[in-house]
Amino acid sequence: MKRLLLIVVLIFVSSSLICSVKAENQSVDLGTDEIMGSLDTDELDELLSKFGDEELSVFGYTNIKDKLSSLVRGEEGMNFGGFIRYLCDIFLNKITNIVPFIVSILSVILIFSLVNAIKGRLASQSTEAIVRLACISLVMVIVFAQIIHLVTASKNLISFYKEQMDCVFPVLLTLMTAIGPSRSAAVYQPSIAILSSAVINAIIFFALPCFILSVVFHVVGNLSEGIKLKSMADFFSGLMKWALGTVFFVFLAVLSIQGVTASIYDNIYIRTTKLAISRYVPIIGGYLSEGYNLVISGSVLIKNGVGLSGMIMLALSTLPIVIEIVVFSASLKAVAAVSEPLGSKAVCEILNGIGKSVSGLIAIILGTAFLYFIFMLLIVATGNLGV
Amino acid sequence: MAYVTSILSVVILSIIADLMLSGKRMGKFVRAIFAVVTMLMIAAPLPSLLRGESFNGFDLFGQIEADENFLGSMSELKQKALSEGLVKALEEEGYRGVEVTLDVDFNGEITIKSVKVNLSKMVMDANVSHINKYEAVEGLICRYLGVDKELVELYE
Repeated sequence: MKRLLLIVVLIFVSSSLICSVKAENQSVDLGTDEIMGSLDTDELDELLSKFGDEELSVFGYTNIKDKLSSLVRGEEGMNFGGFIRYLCDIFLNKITNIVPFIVSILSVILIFSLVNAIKGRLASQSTEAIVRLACISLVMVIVFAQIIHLVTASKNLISFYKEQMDCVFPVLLTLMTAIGPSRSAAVYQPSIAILSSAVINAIIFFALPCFILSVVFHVVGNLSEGIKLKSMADFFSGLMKWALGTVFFVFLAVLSIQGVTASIYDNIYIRTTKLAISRYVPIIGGYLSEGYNLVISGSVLIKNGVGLSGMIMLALSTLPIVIEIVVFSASLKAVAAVSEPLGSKAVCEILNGIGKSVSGLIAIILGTAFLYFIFMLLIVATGNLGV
Repeated sequence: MAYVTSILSVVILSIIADLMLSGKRMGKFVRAIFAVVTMLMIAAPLPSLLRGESFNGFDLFGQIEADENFLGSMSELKQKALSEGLVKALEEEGYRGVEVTLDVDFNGEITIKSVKVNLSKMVMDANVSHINKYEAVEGLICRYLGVDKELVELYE
């Protein structure tokens, strides 16, 4: 059901979205300079300044108005070759950074296996249990240091999403209001407010802590055979997935219905307006609607440009962290695969379990990014067909 | 972090106690006590959660507002576009040099509140020079914009 709804939303959005921002006739002055001159983009510029040099080189400009001007002139939204190179650089960088982590864990496991193999009758069962506990604890300290880094990075990313929403949506809302009536803006405004506050805070205050708890209980439950916390870990993991799935599904459903009604109303309004201006004298009335139409078209181009810039910023902020988590998860599974033949079954199970749990973090980030992305698409698509 | 650290501490203590007392009669008893303490540590934040004390800074609704200055500028641009369009339409009819100022409400449907027309610099083409310019211009404006004569103000 969820997939069906997702497909319906994507079909609607892709059929109504005009991804190209450029004007049909590039030699015609659409008066966009005057419109952009009065648009306040200080917050967007401040947001852009938080990106690094590599991200800014992919974005193409350090100033939002320069970017919008280039989009309206017909230039490419993003340098795709540079973007692919950027992704490859990040991937290689993360793999290079994870190597010390893998080596340190493998070293501990190797030493433990050697000690286990040569102990013979020298060590009693208690000593063996203590050595095993020490080995697992050492591995867990190393793994937890990485997990804490990833969870902190994820939390900062989710907070950065909120900052982006607080900067991009007011500009899009303003442009949407300027193009047509305030009906669409009134339809979207509460959803924007809920997305940027309630949904983001629910992830920070509820989903991320559930993830941390599920990882902690999974690890603690495998420290000793006397402590059983696997069900507790599964409970928090399931709670996180259930909560996220419900929030995303309900929000997407409401959004898709609002998007349809707002878009249809706006398209009818814009066409009715154009007809009303020219209704008395169809030929002469063209003079009246022509200038008005240019202003509206210029605003739509700028709105689409702001939406496209927002999507690029979203991608540039999301992908590095997602790649880092994917590399971490893959490295855990690789280490687990290597440690299994060495006889460290407990460490292998813990690492496999953490590797699976970490995919929950990817789900949180990509789910939030997807919601933000779909919302932006709907706002950008609203009113495009009527112009 | 404090919550996680406290649970880990209790678990590690229980493991150490289990190792030290393994095989002894007290071992099972101590293990049971530590299990209860662990559950109490896990459930410790529940009362504050139920009271809502842990959700400081949890906002349900944010503030997203449109830029009123930009909307005002856009309204002026649209009015200017309509005025220029009207001037071009009058030029087509032979009335040049007319200055038009429109007062239009763009919230909801377009509503024209007033039309002020300055005829001081107007130049008429030869084919319309014999016509009463005031009535002619007023009639054209009413026809183009679909407004009543009361809203049109002519001056020189």
